[in-house]
Amino acid sequence: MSKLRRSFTVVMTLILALSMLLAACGGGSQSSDTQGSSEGQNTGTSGSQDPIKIGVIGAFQLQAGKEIEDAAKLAIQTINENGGILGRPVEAVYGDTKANPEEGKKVVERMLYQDKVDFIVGEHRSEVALAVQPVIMEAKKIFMNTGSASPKVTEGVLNDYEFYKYTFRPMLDSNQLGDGFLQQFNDLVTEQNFAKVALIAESAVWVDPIVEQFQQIFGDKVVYVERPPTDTKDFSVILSKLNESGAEAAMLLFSADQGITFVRQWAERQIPVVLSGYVVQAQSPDFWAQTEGKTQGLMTWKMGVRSEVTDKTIPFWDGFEKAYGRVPGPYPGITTYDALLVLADAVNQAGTTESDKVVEALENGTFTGASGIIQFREDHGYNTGQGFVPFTVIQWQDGEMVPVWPNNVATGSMINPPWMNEQ
Amino acid sequence: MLTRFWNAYWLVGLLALLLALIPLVSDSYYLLSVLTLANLYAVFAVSWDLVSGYIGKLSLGQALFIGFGAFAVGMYHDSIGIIPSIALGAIISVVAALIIGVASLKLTGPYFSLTTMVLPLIFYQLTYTFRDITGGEFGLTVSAGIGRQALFYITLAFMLICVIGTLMLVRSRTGKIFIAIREDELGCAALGNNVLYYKLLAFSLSALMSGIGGGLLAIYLRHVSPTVFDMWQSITILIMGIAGGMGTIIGPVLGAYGLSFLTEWLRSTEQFQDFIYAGLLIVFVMLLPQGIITLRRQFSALRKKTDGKGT
Amino acid sequence: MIIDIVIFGLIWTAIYALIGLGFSLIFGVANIMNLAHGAFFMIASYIVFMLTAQAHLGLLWAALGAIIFTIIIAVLIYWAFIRPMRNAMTQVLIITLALAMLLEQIVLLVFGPEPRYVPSILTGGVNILGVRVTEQQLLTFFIAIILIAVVWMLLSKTNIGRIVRAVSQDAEMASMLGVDTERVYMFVMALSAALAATAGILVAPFLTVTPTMGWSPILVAFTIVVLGGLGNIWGTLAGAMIVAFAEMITSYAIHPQLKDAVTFTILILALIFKPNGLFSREVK
Repeated sequence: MSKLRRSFTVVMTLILALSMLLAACGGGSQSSDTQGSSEGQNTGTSGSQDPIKIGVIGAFQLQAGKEIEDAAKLAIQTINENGGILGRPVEAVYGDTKANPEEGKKVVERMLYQDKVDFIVGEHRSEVALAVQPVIMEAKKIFMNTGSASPKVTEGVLNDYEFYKYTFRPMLDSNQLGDGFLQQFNDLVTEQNFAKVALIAESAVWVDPIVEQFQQIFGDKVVYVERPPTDTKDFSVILSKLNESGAEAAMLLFSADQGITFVRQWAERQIPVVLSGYVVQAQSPDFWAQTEGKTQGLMTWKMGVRSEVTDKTIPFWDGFEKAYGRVPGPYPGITTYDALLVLADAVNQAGTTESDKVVEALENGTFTGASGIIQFREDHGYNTGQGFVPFTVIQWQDGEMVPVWPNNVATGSMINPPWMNEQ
Repeated sequence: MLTRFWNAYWLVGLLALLLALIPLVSDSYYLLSVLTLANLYAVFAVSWDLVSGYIGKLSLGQALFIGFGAFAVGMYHDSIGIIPSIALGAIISVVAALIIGVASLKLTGPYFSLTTMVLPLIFYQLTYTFRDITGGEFGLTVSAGIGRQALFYITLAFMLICVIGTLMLVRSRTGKIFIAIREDELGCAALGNNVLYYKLLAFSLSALMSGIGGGLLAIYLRHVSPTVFDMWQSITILIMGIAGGMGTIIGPVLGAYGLSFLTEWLRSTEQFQDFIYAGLLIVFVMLLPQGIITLRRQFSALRKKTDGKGT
Repeated sequence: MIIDIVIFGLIWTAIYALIGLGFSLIFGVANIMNLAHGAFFMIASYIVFMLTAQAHLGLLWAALGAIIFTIIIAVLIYWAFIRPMRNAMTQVLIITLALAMLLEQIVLLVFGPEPRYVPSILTGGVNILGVRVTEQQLLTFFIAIILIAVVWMLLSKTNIGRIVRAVSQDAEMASMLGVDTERVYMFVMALSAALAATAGILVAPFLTVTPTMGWSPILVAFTIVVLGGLGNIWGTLAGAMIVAFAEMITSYAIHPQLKDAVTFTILILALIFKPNGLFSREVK
């Protein structure tokens, strides 16, 4: 045994030493795509067949991050099938940030200085996006942040334009999200004539302003407000209180793993309250199975629905389903898809990959994405609402995510949870 | 060989010198970044070793003090300035260490270890709860205006000071008492030493180094968020310490740099990365619990055993 | 509201007691603090998922399969990794922690990060004193109580139990008297894993099944062990009750957000004042 031990440890030591050597000389990070991969140093040339490299970042081990990766692959495939950008093929370099700012920083620096990417797209976690943003800005490369909602990401564009102008966020920020939730809920309450409402919103920074607005808008109708911690695993207590409060409808704001448990317990106990709002897990096709169908009647914001918002919306949905065997899920998927297509358009318009010129093209152009018409604002966020990117709400009906709001996007009408149908 | 006195100092000095020269030969931002982080992790690993390797109380949550230091900087660098905020983080870490130490270091058995494992998890949640001051899930931005090269040299100097300081400490009489506590606590106490005092001393020094390091980490990342309390942070430091060699100080230093490079090399393995780490830890504990640093000693010991036996 | 607190407090007491018991046993008898305990809990849930969703087995068979599989994994882990270094607490801690992370990674690689579901054994609910409780929660409660009673009887009334207690009190003496201590340890390990697995199977339907679900049970188990003392069934029950009710009362009457702060405070206070459990008479 000791001989085995000895040789094993020798091998281990050699591997470690070798790896240190290799890392010092710079190994290549994983890059893949339709046109082969590149290892080692990239010597920049201006050959016309040189691929354009785009870095895609996200927490690929999480559901939302996986969606980013899959959507990016689909987008890049589409771009390359249409001749690439400026006639050059597009190659993606994927970096898993693991929802960790430290890791994100390392990944991004490697992408910028080792793989020498031209653009960076992705990331749905605000804390990671905020951590990598200065690094990318320093390198004067364009960062299309497709997932995080923190207003801080775009604040810099207003406060220090020269440094931050390379940041674009083709995604709603938390204020726009808040407006959307409140508007839809208001319509629901008005239409159904509800007199008592409740709010169950996780304890998180992005939610705080929305809670205030909710209480202002609904005033006396609010009978129950609860702010459970994001890691709450059991909602027995909260559901009891909800039941006792007499509320007829409740707005949910859950961006973590709460959805499945909450919805299941709600259905099992047949709590007579209509649920709407934001349940991130309910955006996923698996949700129906995960809740054993108990999500019937739940409404949630979902970005990217199967409806003709633009002429690209349904092809994206169907194309995604065909490629991956599942319908599109969490929101960073469609936003990443759009971001890449918009980027391609902008670069083609600018005629060069030079960041400053592309920034101009992005600022001045109007683009058609799968999620809507994309036009960037002064802070490089974008306009939402009618004529731009609509805030869309789906309801789970018999295993399908049916768009039910706003009216011009809806393909079905709202139903009640099965035990509430006597009303 | 490397645990003998002057050899360790020479090694550290040489390492520091080599590292100091790197920015002059390479202009890769990426390499500089990796090395800056490695400098900090060397300090974390050494501070871990002081508690786990020297007084023999395994710490499974070094991330706790790193987090305190980082959040102190994140929360207060605007109002009181960068250096005072780092100092504040250090003070908070030491005070916390004293409280936790008094509660858990008296106990035999794994209570201390489990407490250290569990506390970062609790604080992770607390940063979400008290999000008005900690920024919740978005975290806090840190703008220190320190350039990359400057930060690299600062962390290098910090590493040098901590490592040499700790080496001197463990070679001193205090250090011998640490080892005595690890080997035979009762016996040590019987000789009249205030064992609790020494344990608290080691633990507070460990917290001090990690706290300051945490502050520097926040400056390096330009951001603080709850993930700084994450268990993987503590596990990474654990792996560095174990692989390098627990109880040698210099071992964890080498482990820190080695693992930092290994991480970059392993980046291409993507989703298998964490699996490999866990596997590495198991392999090391099973086969080489003393760490790489003692490899040479083990080799020569093995060789001596088979010499002259004619098997 | 008080009725809610009492009812849900009791249900969670049973669950926590189930989780804490296995942890406490292996520590009390073999002096092994098994940080992979939560991983057993997690793996059992995943195996039930796999057997029901992918192999389409009936629930009871799946549950049985999960328990057996978890026991096998636990015993293998004990034999291959823990036994060689049973006397070095440090190594045991590190290696069980590493194994816990390894298992988590394996599950992540095989099943992906999406939350999975485990179907409930019983659907439907009942009204107890005005509070609607699901039948699954009731089932969990009763099974947990029965199991705890069975373990108690096993340890105090049977021959095996006597041997286990002997080994936990003085292993050397026991082995000199002819007891195969290794076999005893493996038995306790298997029992501990079975308890964790059962908890996982019962609780999974009303929580989310994710690769990281094993860590909060460890926190709870540790707190219970500190409060209740080692290997002490009544102590475990008492500890579980304290933790469960403290959580319920905080959530209902005070503020759900403070739940973690409360756990923290309980833990620290217990460590400072009563590290050997609330019921110990020893002085340390």
